[in-house]
Amino acid sequence: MARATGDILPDSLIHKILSYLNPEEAAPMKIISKTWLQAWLMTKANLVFEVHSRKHIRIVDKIMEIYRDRKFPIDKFIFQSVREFDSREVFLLFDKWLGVALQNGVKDLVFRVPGFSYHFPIFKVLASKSLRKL
Amino acid sequence: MASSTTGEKKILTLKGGDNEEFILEESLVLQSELLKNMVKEERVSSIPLPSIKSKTLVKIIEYLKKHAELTPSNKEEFKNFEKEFVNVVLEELLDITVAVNYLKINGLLEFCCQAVADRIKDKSVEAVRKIFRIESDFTPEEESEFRKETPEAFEGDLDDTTN
Repeated sequence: MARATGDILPDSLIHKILSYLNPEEAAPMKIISKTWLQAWLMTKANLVFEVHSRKHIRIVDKIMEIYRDRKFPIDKFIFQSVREFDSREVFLLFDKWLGVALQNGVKDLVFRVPGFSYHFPIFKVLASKSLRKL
Repeated sequence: MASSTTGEKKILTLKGGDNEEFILEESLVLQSELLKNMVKEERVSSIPLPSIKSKTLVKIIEYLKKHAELTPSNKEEFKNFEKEFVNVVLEELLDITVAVNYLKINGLLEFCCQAVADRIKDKSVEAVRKIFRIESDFTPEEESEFRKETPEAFEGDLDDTTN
């Protein structure tokens, strides 16, 4: 008789267990295995990012790519940048993330970046059907 | 024997993994969505549950009985029972949780998942892997990147005993 092991623990059950942890407690669990990472991402329908450095930009990008590729639903997307970015490369990433959020059904969107050099793609955002709060 | 003592009540037999049989009133098992469907659609009177240990089944039946007796006046008592119910060694708790998930006993499942979450939340990644007997399927590069990004995840409580 097999006991409750990783391979017989169904994905939905991992997701359920993770949903009983607060975000800080749940975050380390994504490292356990790919199945746990997926389950963790599913609990993170609310994406809240605060960016301080270039390194953070890379991390956000990686997460957004996973959400894009696996079409995980996003309820809330809050992005806040503490420092100013003025490179076109980063702006393209901003565009890309907003695109992913909108495509994955974001309902609440908050996007704060200091400075005026980034042109928020307002028309693209307003065209979204799922959005209810901006 | 069962039919003579229970009159009109329908009787159902559950067969645990080690072939032990449990005879109980059908109304009790209706708390399980899975069994409810089996009983309603297929009109079976004996249900084999080979993936569930008898020991686990005994615990679950104990819960079903207590839950069936739940009234507004013994709510407190039931809450205490629930607390005691999950106060077992971790390995047993996992067996119960997996079985309850399979049987789809919703209220109890919520409670078990909360209990499992409470037990693993302070543990290190390594400890949780050992508890669930999971081998990491990340590449060594990904793994070392995780270690760099979230070193605290690898600290935590290293205790991986399931007792």
